[in-house]
Amino acid sequence: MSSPALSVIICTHNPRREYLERAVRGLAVQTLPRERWELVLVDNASDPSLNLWFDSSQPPQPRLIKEMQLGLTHARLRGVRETTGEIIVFVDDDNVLAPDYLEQAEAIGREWPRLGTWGGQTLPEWEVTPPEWTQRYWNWIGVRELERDLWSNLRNDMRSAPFGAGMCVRRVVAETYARVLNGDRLRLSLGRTGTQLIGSEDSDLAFTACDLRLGNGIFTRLKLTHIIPRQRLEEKYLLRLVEALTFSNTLLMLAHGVAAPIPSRAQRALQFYQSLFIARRARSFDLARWRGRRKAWRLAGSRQS
Amino acid sequence: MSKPEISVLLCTHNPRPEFVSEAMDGLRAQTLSLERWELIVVDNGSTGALDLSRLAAWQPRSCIVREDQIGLTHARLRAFAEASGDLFVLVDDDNVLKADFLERAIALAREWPFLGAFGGQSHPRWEQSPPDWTRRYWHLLGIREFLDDRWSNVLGGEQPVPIGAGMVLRRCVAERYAEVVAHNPARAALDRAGGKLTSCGDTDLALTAIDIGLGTGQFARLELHHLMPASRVDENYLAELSYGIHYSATILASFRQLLPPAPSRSERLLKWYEGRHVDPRVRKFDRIERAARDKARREAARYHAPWRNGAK
Repeated sequence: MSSPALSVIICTHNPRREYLERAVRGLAVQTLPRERWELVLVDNASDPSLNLWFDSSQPPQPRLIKEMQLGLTHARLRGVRETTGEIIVFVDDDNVLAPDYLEQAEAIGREWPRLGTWGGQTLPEWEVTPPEWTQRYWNWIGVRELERDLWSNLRNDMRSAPFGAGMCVRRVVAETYARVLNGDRLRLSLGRTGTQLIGSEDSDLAFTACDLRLGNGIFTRLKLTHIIPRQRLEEKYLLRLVEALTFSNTLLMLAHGVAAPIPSRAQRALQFYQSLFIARRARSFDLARWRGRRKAWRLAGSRQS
Repeated sequence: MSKPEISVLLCTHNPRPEFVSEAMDGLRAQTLSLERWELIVVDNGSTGALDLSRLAAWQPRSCIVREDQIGLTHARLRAFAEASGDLFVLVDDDNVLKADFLERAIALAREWPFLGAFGGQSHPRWEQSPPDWTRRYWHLLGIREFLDDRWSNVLGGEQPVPIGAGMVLRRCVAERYAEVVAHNPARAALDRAGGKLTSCGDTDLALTAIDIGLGTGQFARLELHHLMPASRVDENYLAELSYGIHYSATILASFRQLLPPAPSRSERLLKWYEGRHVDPRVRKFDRIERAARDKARREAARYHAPWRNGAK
């Protein structure tokens, strides 16, 4: 048998059963012929273990692999090691791919040899109707709707970099990333771990693509549904998320030398003054971002000295 | 005769004879064989008695036209109308292309079908060695030196926007630009006209690629030399140039709805505070830049005012 063109990797840690089952079922109806892609389901130290209850004999018959070292990055890299396809598609356990997703992902990989990572639209499916005010924070929970395709190879403009949900990565990028990461504790720690919320490994893959002189793109024709549970819309959760993501993104940008310079005292004073005139909620989100950035600067500063 | 693969468009207005002849020498030395490209020279209302057709006689596929309406945009539109290739290269009368420029331009266009406009490096060739303080402002002179290729279709940010000198352009982009300018004469006023130093027509033209769903790029392997007379590094000239460029860039940003919000009073105060110890010349240039932006903002606000469009 020839090796598959695409490797689909689902990483999961203590999933909600009905979400994971929907994610896997979404793969069973893909238009891309089944022999062209392989599927592994990486159980990242779930308790109870996935093989106790998950039935992998049903189509699309995922290969179940257990990775005991907790952390999304470990789980993904394990998935990369276990597969052979030239294009890797990372699917989260709460993502339902559109039926033509893999077909389009493969086509884009062929049409755009210069892209190292690509993705598309992540459309939300809410467990509860989201309150109006949350709308401006939806991108933080991975909601993205696109009007047109965006692509670039600019390292300091990540607007065309895909989110982790449904991210397609060329194997050479994933393997380079694995090699670089091996031994870089800081970057290894950027991924989500258990219930900890930081998670910039997606952007790190996009940066790796740029290092290899490839680019990143997002395409309207790639669509998936992201199931969003009710607690993701709570203000407390969102504040924690914003702080954690700002922290890990800032660290990542410092590691790649593209972070904005640390503001001077006068600039910080100005920011504080300006924050007096904005609404309470917007201010608490600004503060969360500020805390995340400060934590990153401190950590980076202590590593340098 | 078959269609040329690439049309070189050279617009000139009262050029220095030795510069334009050097630019022509650069074209004559191209490795791409003569029958694969054509040369369109637009004489934009020059008053001298320079014989351009004699300078271009070595290229059988050349044509010299005269455009009496002064202004780089008018000259370029005329050149677009005369050109027959599907790919255009814009060359100024003081640009000397590297010998492999056209060959590489064709190869890049084939390799990157989704780029509508791209450019390369523009190295200065100084008539007189420039004072060191001017280095900070060389980008205003259209000097571009870099190592990494960059490409994107994401507007704003660090988008690689090619400059006019050596810009490679697809016909579809040029045609759309011509259409837009015909309906919006203010767009034509963004460019140089005679002695005026506004110059964002280049940017407007390159960004038209994005309007029609293509991207822009910059490639290190495309190279040309830009001949720099001594007058270009004169402080007053640079100051005037800075004013013109920042003024027209702001106007252009307002056309494209890319204008960032005006800095608030406290932000200006901070700028001033942080600029206290800066070199006086740098401060002078900063002040000029700010004045240009402010003026453009005021004009843009007036231009977009509702009464302009007949609303009450």
